[in-house]
Amino acid sequence: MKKFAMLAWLVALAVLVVSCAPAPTPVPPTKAPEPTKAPEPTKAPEATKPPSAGPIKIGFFSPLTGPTAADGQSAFNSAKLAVKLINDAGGINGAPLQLINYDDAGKPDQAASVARKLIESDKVVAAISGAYSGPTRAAAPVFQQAGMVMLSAYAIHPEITKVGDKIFRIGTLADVQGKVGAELVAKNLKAKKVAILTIDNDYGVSLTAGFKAHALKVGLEIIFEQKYSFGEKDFRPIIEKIKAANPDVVYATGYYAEASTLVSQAKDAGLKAQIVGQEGYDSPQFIKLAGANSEGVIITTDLNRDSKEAMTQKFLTEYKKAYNEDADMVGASAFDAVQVLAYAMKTGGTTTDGIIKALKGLKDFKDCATGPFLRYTADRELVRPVSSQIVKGGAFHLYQEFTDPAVTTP
Amino acid sequence: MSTRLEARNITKRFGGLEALRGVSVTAQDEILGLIGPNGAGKTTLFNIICGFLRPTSGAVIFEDRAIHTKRTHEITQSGIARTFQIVKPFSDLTVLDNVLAGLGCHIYATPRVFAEQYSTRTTIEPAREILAFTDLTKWADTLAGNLPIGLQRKLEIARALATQPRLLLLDEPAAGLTSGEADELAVLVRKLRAQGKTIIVIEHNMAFAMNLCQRIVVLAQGEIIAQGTPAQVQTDERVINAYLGH
Amino acid sequence: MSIAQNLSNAMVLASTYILIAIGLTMVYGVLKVLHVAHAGVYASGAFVGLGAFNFVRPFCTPTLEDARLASNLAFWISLPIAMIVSGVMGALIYLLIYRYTWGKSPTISLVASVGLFTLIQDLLQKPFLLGPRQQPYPAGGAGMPRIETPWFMITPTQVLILFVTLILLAIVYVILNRTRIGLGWQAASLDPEMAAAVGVNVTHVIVLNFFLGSMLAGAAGVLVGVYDNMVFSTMGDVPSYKAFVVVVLGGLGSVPGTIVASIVLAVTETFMVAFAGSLMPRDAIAFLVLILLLMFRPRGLLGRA
Repeated sequence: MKKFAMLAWLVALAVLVVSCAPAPTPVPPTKAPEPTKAPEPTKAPEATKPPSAGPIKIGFFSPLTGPTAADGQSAFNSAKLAVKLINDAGGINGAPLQLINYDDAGKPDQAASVARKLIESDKVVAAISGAYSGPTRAAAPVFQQAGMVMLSAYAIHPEITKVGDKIFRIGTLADVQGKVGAELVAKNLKAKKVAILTIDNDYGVSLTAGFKAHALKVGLEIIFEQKYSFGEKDFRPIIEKIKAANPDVVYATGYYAEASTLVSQAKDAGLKAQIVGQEGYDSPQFIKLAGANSEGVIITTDLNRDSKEAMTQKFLTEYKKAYNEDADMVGASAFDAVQVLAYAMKTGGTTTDGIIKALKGLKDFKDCATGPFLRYTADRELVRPVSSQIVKGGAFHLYQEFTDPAVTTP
Repeated sequence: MSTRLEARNITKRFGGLEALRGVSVTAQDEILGLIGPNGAGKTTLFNIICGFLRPTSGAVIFEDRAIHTKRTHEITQSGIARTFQIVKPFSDLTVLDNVLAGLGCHIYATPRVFAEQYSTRTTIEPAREILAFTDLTKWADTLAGNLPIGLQRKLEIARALATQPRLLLLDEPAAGLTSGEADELAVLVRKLRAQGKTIIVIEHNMAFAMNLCQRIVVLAQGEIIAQGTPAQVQTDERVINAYLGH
Repeated sequence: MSIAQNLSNAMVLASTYILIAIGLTMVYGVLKVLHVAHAGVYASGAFVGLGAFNFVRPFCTPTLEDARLASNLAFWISLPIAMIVSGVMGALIYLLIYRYTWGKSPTISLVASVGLFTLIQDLLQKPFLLGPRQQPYPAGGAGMPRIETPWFMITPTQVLILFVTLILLAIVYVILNRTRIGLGWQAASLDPEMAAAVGVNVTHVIVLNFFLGSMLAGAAGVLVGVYDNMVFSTMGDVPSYKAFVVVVLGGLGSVPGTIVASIVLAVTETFMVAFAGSLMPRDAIAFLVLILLLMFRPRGLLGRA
């Protein structure tokens, strides 16, 4: 009986693991709400336009289920918003854009199969990843091999663009963002001793690598370092150790869920050190969950909510209007990915070569929420300003914008 | 003599196997023996009477009420208790708690079970009386699983008594007992009969059954082949062929 | 300073493990079923508690001047509501599912349970329930005091968790060990057939069993939701397997074993994270402890041989 019980228990675990595997069929595009539904080409009034073959399909994937679903929804909503604005303004030289969207559930293997589906059955002309680094890294080679352009909206792992010449990035490369973090800690906060907390995934590890590389140059002393798992809810033992180490600053990578837990538990335990985060914190959710404990937290991010750029403000207000909630960095990046891709298709046409040529020629692009984008490097990374924000009065506000090419050039 | 229990034309099939075939047994105020070779269907009949099994056809009437559609605990509450061939005490409970579990029988269906402590003076006293009656007083605080087999058999009877049955079904109570213990058991069973309880005993130990029972029913291969006083049964030819002849 | 603080934090963590795992232990004890959907009850408890909290709080505010007091009151109303709803949910799970799968192959119950757990999570993720985002449950310490000593400090929320856990454990202890239904429960968990033969209505006992266990899981959901200030649809994921580790570690079906195992696991996790650092993720620690223990003591800490 005992033996049998143990066996049953093992089966239970096996079943659990299996139940976590990706759903065999992704959400079909018809299921996703599509306010951006293309107008019928026959309805296009301009008879002078060349007869278009219908809407221009662009692929999109993000996690709409699973633990990262909130970010995936944000990204998807923003991409839809961008498509709507573009189509309202006449589309791509008269042809409307159509967004074909799939759920990757936050899982790399599912992202890869979604990529194949977009290429083979949906026949999209280019794709945007609204996903995390793991799934994006899995999907990138599929698009590269198919000879199709993919833009990574906010996945910032260095390996993504190294996959090949068809893969471009919108968000700030992890190395750069880590570098900016170190710059901020040393120059703006004038700190000496730093404790580093790393979320143990592609995102966290690459950010920490960037931070540490630059920390040596700006004279920071790293006195403590530890990793933690995605979804961690109990930072208390780590905080006790950090208190004992007594750093000036804690540089902690992570997403808003972990970050809100971390800053709240740090406040509870009486940790005095300044906490510096990065774009993973950048969500109204962070402030909502951490409440007053989020006050004073500084992050590096791509979205500067206090920006004077017209498109930034337009995005923030239109998003709020469309979805009745505040936009976040993830959404802004997905929005920008659509904007950049649309620009490339307008100027270079809808062939892969045309898109790539146009992207390489992109100069001082301001039609975006997180810009201005100066240019693409040979490694298909954007040269762009990196913002840092501080939580004040329950909202993110500009702390410092980093434009020094020595720091921000990938 | 009034009829306590009537099993009427009971048939029980397990898939293709017919364990009981049209068996009718009546128990009056008496000690009734149920004997027969292995596989005769004796324990199956017990299981049907106490509600562990449903008969394929036939009826069980206890004190003029049909009980064969009722569930085990309801049948127990109506006044039938049983022991098992393989003893099944609640091994992690003390001897006293085993009896107390049986004493709850008549209130398990009421909301009182939530509010009442199980070991108040009013419940402990009757429990101790039952232990004294079955000669288990000095083992009261021992875990039932640690008792030797002979005492576990007594405990089964004690626990069955705690439900205040009017009909007691004993499934091979003398199995594994020394002859001294078996004699003690016979005395105990007679005392119970003297208190007015009807008792049905399944027994392999012939001498024990012949000595104890007032009437005997003999089952073989799912059918009754003889019944009557021990003397009558012992001389019945079919019985000798089917059973005693072995 | 740090060791005492870590210990006191670990005891709070252990309390949450205890509340989640006891229901599983109780179900296993009687039905010998691995009740995976219990973690779904836990998440639902948090959801119901949060819903009640948010619903009740506006009604408390106009009558009580202090917003803090209003939120405390709302919490103490939301906790019992969440517990009762969770308890009823657990009882229904038995009546609608396990009652029919019990006695058949345990795999059937297990598959049904896993399916139900997935269903509950998917439902919770619907926008009209919790939605995909984490929701705050800002009840703070619900009026509990902060305890400060020279060696360690216990936040009001931690005091709340310890306090509620102790009270609930005491109630369950009294019901299971002192009342007549409790004796029936003990009998049924040792031998359901024999319990029926002494008049115990085993169905009632099992329903009670599910009600009590699920009620504790619901309380755990609420307390963890408040502790992390976060309620989300997939919050049952980690407990769904960690509670099993606790149950097996404690000895399948043993309530005291579950309590001891929760403490052992919470303390080990806390000190491994504190002293072994990044060596391995904390959930791996749980399984490591389990494997080590089972190698030397296959029946668990307090399990029956």
